[in-house]
Amino acid sequence: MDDYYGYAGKILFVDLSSRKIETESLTMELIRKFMGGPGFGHRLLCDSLKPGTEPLSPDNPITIGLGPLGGTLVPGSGKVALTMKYPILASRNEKKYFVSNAMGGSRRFGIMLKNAGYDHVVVTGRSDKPSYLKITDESVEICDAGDLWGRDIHETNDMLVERHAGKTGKCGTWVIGQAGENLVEISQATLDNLNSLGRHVGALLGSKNLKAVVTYGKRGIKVKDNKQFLKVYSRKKQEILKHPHYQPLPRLHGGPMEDFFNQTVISVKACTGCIGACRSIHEAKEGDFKGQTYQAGDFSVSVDFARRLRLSDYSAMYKLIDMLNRYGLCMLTTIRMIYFVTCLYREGRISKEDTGGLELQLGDMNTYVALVEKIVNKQDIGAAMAKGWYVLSDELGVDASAEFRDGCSITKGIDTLTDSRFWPSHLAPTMGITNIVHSKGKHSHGATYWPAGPDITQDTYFPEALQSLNDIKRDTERMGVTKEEMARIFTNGSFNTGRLAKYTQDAEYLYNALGICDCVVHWECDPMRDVPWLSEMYAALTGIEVTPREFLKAGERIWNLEKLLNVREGFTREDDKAPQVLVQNTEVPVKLRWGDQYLMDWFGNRLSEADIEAMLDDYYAERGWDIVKGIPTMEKLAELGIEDLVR
Amino acid sequence: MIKDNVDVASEKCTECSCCQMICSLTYAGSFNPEEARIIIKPPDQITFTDDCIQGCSLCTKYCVYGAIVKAEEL
Repeated sequence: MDDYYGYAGKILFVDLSSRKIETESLTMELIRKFMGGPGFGHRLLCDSLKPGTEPLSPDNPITIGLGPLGGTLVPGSGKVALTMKYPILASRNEKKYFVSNAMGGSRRFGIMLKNAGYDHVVVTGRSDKPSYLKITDESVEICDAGDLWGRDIHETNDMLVERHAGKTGKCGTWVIGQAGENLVEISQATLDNLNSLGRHVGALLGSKNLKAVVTYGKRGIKVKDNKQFLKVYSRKKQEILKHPHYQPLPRLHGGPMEDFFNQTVISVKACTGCIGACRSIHEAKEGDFKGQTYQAGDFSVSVDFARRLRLSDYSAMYKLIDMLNRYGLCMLTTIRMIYFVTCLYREGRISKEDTGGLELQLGDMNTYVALVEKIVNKQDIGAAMAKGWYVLSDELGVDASAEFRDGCSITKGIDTLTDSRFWPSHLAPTMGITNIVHSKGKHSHGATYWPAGPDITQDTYFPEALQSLNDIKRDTERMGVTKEEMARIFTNGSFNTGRLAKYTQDAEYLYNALGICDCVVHWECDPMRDVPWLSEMYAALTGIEVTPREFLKAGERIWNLEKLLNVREGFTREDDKAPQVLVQNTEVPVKLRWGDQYLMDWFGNRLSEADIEAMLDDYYAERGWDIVKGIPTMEKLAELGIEDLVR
Repeated sequence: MIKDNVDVASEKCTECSCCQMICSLTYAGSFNPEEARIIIKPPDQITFTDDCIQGCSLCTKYCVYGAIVKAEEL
């Protein structure tokens, strides 16, 4: 191919050990089959990742890049995809690690990577000294990071921007803090100083002595048909702006949460091309840490955590999260772990011997700061916390996955983003099952179908947005599902959760591959959940015609490829076990303010353990996989044209 | 350049770059923030380059945050 539209046209390969830098042009076969983002990433891992590779060894490659819509005007197109083998232990019984992808929003990194001339980057090896990778339209360099090593994420970002920004005062950055340098497995890397990409990956960069990646360029992302692109874009944008769910600023649902937000917000930030900004920066106006600023990924999650940690002084929460942001620790896992071990201490189940002499008290900021320091420096109990839930459980002689507080379950070693026990109240009919079957312990929105219902209540973090069955049908049709498939999903005035989940996952991976944000699709810009429209947008941008059905198939292909990579690592249906907090809840109710609550499906029917297994059977059947093993069949792989990747 | 027909409220800018996208696509033929005639420098500086066309207010149509608004609409 000579001319690329939408795509930059090249993949960059950097070996930090040999300092060898190579490029390859995209082929039409790669584009048509795998689209971009995690599609490219997983395809590249097929060749570059040997099964059984130690996650923190030089042989474990990192692939990072963006999809064809990335860096354009399409809402939510700031998303950057990372694919790799994660360092979190995924099984208590075996030494096993999953391969998956993470998506992170960028304000500069993605668009600048493409403007530098690359759709994707594969980083292998290990630098012999602290380094950072500078990728521009003029050169690719492995630079000395001696003066950056040991610095926190915000400091490092500022120094790199000062050094490499162009006319607009900005360049793209992807940075780790001290936690990543110290190989803390629950560390994160941060894009453009604001967005996580992603949870539990910082140590991988640290293991390569790679402090950061910087992107900058001005090649331009070409559009095949400008007029058609703007026409198709504008039509959908008008639809979005008129939609009742649309709001340009973070969604706080009114009430005290919104008041609190407004009192302390300094500025709101959006990713590239986004018309539904969701990031904010805050400053404490009072309290022990008055003047403390912090960057919120999701403000309401921060408030929820402050409540859980019994922090009555909200400025302390700002201080605590700022520490995590700077060190580069995953906020969700770290705060939940801090809460967990503090509860164990209060209950007398662990002692000062376990904590390295620390007295742990709920609501005590000194406790929390000390624990964060111990995790970053891998000292005492912090050394086990740094390695994730399963190692921590073994060290303390407990089972965090069986008693995980607040109902967030642990799957494949990672705490899920939300409580998926009470599915109706959590508005996502396929969330429970996608938590179970995702290649990684599903910890974000990935592959969950979030219906955007019309009713928003004020008193819960996740608003109840109960949709009618017809709404769910309409949204499923918009994902490009055929009539025959619809007939299998929707039967007898109900829907089959396992079968529906297959299509929500395929659509999700299509969005990821195209490079658009699933939060935008599912929330702020609901009308974008429209696969036929996405195929029109793609054709205008790239000049490549793809039917909506082929589009959804691409999502399915990428999902299957990811599974294939995990089958190589030894994962089967045995690993897709429902978390114990869910199973326990089939028999033991959770006491909530409105009464006893058992595990239930979207319709409010109580579920048994056998029901969960039946749901999984349906899911694998709809996928066309081996139901007993829970893995793709050769027939399915041949249908998707990836049978040659079985090695 | 000081533009007569565009009012700027920098504090509302989210740095989404939509203005730079449409500007660079229209005048440079591709999505290329560095070639846009509107410059956004964090934390809150929005300026226009000298080659920005005085009568053009295309960028204001693409700002949903109210950071750049066509003057008569204020």
